[in-house]
Amino acid sequence: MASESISVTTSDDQTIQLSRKHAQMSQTINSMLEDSVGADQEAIPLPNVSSEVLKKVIDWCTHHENDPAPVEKVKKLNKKREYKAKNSTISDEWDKNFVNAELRVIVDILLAANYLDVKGLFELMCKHIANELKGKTPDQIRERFGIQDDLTEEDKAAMRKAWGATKNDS
Amino acid sequence: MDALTSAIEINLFDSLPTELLYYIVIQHIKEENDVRRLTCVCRRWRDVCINSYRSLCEAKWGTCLQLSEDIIDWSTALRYEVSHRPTSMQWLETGSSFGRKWYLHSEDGLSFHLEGILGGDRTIIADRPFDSRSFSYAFGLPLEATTVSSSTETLLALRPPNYYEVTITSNKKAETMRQRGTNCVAIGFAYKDFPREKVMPGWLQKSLAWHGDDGKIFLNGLSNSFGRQLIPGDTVGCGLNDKELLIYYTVNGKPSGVVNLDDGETFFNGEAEPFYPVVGLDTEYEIQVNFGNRPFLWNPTASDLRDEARRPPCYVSYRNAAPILFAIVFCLAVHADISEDFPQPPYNVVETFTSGEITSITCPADCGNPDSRHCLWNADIQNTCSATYAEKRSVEEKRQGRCQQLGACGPVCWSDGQGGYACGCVSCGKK
Repeated sequence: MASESISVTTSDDQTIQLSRKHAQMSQTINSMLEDSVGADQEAIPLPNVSSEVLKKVIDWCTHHENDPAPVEKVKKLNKKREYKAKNSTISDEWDKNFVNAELRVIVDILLAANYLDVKGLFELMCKHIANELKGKTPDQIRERFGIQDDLTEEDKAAMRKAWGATKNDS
Repeated sequence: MDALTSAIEINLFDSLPTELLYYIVIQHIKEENDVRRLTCVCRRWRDVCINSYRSLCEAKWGTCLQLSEDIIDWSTALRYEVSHRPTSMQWLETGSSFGRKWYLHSEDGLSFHLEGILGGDRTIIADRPFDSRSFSYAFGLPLEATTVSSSTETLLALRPPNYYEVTITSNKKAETMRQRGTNCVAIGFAYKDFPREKVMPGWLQKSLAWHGDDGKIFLNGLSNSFGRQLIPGDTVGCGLNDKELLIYYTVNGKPSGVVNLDDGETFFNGEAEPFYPVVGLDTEYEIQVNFGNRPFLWNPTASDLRDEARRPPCYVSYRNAAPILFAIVFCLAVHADISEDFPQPPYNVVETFTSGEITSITCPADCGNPDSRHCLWNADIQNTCSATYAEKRSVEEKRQGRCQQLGACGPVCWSDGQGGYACGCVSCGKK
């Protein structure tokens, strides 16, 4: 009989308990569990995730534990839309609050969601970062994300030419 | 000072793998203006945006190029082409040959397979003609003469305009029975109201097609050697350069020849008719038509396309082509004559044509001996042999006469089940 809680070890050597239901929302952990059926339940090592970030992930999983599983069929029907931008608004109030965090944390959660393969959380983080990038000038984006401008004047001239750039763009 | 250091700190995106950035751009941004601005943020974002667009573009269209001054005119041409090209084929769902029905099945207007009796011919025709303007733009050399437009696309799909591909698959999706002839898929162009049955494109005026059974090009009722025979698994591409009146073909992604319409008989006969892609069908295999919704097998570069446009045609003359119109008229007459009460297999064979008494012409070595099972009744009469019309007619009459003499129906050819065919007279009557 599988136990109802799973132990994982984070990158900062903390052992964290999470419910089987939440653990299974991560495809990565889920497949590890399936691989080790019948074996002694040892703590699963998650060397790429810190305890701080994992707690955030568990928070999200707790809030979304009753969400319907993503259905592949829907994707097939909307195949044409694959090339269009996804709906960019975050509709869930709880999610809006959740992403209202430092960008450093957001990026860490995105990486963790990617590694753990938590689809919904991954999409949420991508959406949030995309929203942060939209509607801003290159200067604003560089400032917001701490990016060095390493484009030469030549590069910029080439981009302007290719785009047929307007005055608003730096 | 503190504010300054915190603003610069570390680049948050350094820790994100490039694939993730692609994903964000492709799935969640995709607004032209936003992508434009992102390309001006830093080198990494510039490369990500351009490559994201490239992978997006290639998944959709095949080869894509980064937009540059050199090919900016392609952008106009291709956008035009995409919105004006044909979307599917129109077809006749059923008809009859030899008094028995055939059915042409298709769900999407792009994949087709036949059911029932083979031997009669039928043609499927595109819902829209190819538009001369898209070709003119794309080949509007010199390209550098055009001004930089206000285009905001970074990449454009490089695809041959006015081009379509037909794949002869190796799937047999329904039961078919061949009464005569051999499998033939004919790929080319014709006018909107080209007959949907009983003729192949190329047999009539203002039509042209590469016939897969003998590898010949048929143009306005005349034929000439062109390429090889087409077999299941082949994908044939057919493109139109109506600026220079060229039709070019590809086989399995490689250029295989150009037909110059301006030489000898002209395609239009002085009239401006739009070119509709057409496919003549008489085959047990499923065929698939692609107008560009899937990547083409022929994936040319810009210079390939330009070279192709400039390539001297390797197929130039119809002046010495053998007339086949009589053969068609004759063939239609035979269809009508024997269609009533034609027996269904299994046949009660009265006599097979194996003796020189009945077959009197000698075929050239390359098309087989009419006495052998490999020289089909239909094929040796119609197009395999280079015998004159009178000779063919004489053989046909002897065969028909012989069958009548025996009080039998025919002549008819059937498969021996081992890849060969036999021909002869069979007992008449409805089954």
